[in-house]
Amino acid sequence: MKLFKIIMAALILLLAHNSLTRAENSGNGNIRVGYTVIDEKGNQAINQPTFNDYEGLGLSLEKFYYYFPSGLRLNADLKNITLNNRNLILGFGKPGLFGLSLNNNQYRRIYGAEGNSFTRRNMTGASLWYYPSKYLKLFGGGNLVNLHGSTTALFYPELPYATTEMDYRQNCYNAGFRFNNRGRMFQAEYRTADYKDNNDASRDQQRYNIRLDALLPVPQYDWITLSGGYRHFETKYKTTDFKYSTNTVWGGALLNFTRNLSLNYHFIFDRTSSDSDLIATDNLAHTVYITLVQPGQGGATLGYQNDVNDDFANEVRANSYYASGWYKPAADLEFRGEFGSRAEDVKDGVRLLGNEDRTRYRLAAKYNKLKNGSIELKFENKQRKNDDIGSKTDFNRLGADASLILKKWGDLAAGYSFSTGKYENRTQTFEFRDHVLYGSLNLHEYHNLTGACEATYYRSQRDLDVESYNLRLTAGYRFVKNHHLEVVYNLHNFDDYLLLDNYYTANIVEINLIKELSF
Amino acid sequence: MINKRRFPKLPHKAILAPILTLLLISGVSAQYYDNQDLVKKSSDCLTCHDDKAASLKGTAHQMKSDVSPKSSIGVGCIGCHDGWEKHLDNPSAETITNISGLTPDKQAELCRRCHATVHQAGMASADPHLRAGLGCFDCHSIHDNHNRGLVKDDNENFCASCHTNVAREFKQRSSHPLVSGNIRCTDCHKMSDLKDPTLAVGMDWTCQSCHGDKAGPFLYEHPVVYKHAVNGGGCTECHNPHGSPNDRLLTQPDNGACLQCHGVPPQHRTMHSGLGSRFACVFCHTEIHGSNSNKDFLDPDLGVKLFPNCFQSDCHGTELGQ
Repeated sequence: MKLFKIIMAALILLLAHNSLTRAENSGNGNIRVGYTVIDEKGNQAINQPTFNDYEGLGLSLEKFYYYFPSGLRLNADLKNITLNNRNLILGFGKPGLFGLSLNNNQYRRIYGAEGNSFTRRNMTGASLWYYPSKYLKLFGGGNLVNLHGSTTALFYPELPYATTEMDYRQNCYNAGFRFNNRGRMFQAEYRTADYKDNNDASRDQQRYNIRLDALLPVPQYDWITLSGGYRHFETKYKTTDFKYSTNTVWGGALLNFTRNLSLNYHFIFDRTSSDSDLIATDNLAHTVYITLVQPGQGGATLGYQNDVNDDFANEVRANSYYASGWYKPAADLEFRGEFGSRAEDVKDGVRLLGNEDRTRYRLAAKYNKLKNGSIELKFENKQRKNDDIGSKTDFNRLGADASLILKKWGDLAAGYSFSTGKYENRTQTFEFRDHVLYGSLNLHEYHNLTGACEATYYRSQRDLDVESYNLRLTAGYRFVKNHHLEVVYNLHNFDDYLLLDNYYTANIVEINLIKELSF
Repeated sequence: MINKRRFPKLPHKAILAPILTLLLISGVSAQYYDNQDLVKKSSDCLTCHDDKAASLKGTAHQMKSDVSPKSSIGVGCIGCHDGWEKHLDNPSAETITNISGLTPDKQAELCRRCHATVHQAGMASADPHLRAGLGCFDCHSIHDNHNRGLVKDDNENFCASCHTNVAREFKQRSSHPLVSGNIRCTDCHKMSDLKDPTLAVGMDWTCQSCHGDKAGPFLYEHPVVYKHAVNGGGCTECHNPHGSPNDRLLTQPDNGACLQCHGVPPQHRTMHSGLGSRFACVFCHTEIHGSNSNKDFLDPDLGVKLFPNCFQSDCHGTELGQ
């Protein structure tokens, strides 16, 4: 990885020197050199936004693209190359001919109050595609996941044996082709994954996945579009050949009867076979939607799904109903509503859960003036009820968002959501009432000065009593053409009022020197 | 051995054969041009609209005349903007197709001339965006766009511009690292998944691609976890992947997630002197995602951790190592 860092840093220095050819509109981006200082106090394992923050010198190349005269394109978004929270994306290719994309990022999840117990997940990926002809695309790639470190038990972390060491890697590779001709498509892809657990070799697994997908506008009947496919997935232990596998067939048809009326049917059938105590499970689902649309004015959809889940001990049948609609009385005003319900019925056998009903609905209204801003209100409700085991869930959320665009000054955005949840079972009840308040202000450049502010406030009440907030203030000064200095102040605070030692405060200051590239 | 089948065997060949046959049949009525036509006829458009050609430079829709002949895909104005013949005679806004003004299904139909992909197959089947009256141009734009996939905004949480309530779930106590840029919405919500309207589940083992350590097969499966292999559900019964007021994305704190399906067995209250009440379930049932040693998902080290005779007693001794 050190070599990778050196290459990236060299690339950025090369760009800073403006060594690339200057031609009008051929490239753009920012180089950022900065230093981050963190002053923190309290339990590091409770405030998620700071888990992946590091002190030190950061070097970044942001939102960079460059077009070579030959038609080749280079793009990069390389954040904090020199720090452990690096997040790198690099692409190279020629439109319509080939492309290569690389990415790497790391995430630290802290479990110990002192920050000494944590896991670090490193993800590295590459993908490549090539068109040998306009009808055929070849593609492939790989994705490597590595996680190592230690976690602590969620409950009673202070007890002995509460720490678990983790060290595994999962390497996934894929390759495939896609054939296109006049709106028709057939794609075949093979994926394989190798899972290796460095602490327990008996968990090592080999997985593979075959995927076939097709899309077919029917010849002479272009109002009918068929789609379908097949998938096979298998995972097995390397040492014992113990495995499970799934075969899936899916298909559907979209029938555009008129410009306004369409019917959409699809089915899916899958069978999972396993060497475990659950021998095999079948699923079969049929879904149909009928949609009526008046372009630009409104639309309504009615849907029905019937599905069967059969694991050879229990057979569960479910009926789901769906209705949604949208209406635009004016170009800048929009109303939306959606309702869905699902009733599961155990037809054969006695499963633990018994029969279960779920319903949800959502309502939204939005007023959107593109040049001036928008305001939006949303409400949603989700319920789940299971009389057989005495379990019930009720979730409600009200959300409001507004944005204001001030042509001369900048833009302002704010959002608020209020959610309540109640989970009941025969032994206990859990209730929460959460508030999330969010706001941001971005000011346009004025006399070489820029400014921005962003804040989030979170409060969880009822059975929990948590308060957290963070504030991010940014001030910038352009001292030479295409160069500016930026100072960012972040304040994080977390308090769990039910557990007195569950608090966290951090002051984080970033000082950045930014050079804007324009070729 | 399975001795009871309610469904027939998978009809692989019967399904694939007609699909492949239809693929090879020609005769679809939409407009298609070869590369030569695209370059030649689109050059007339540039007389007035040369700025539009410049706005495509370096993108996937770069004009064919701007790239080397080795490039396989041809792009020209007339490939997307139907009605160009009339527009040449009468150059008004009414005579040319403005794609973003088309209905969603017509947008999809037009883009599919070149972009017949799995994403398109999804849009034509289970995808809820089309039903909600949204088309390609609600998320993508073509001219003056240098973002990956030509999405309107390349930020990790671009979807949040509509799904604002979901975006705020990521600001709760625990959440997946979207805000830090380590994941993107599309890492889980594959736009090619086809079964569930929420797109996140389905037959792509969404959770498993990062959390392979939690995935089976196990000799003793926890049926709720096993559901992720069967129909893509499972994990979300106990975890809220966007964000949660509880630690580790749990929908409920303490034993709540367990008790939503399981009561505390009476034996726990008597034999363990209230152990079931005083300890969290997962303190003993550590292998809660599945176990290769114990059908009750008990910690293999329980005898060391808690009482020396856990596995020697009549209650648990016979189950270990099965």
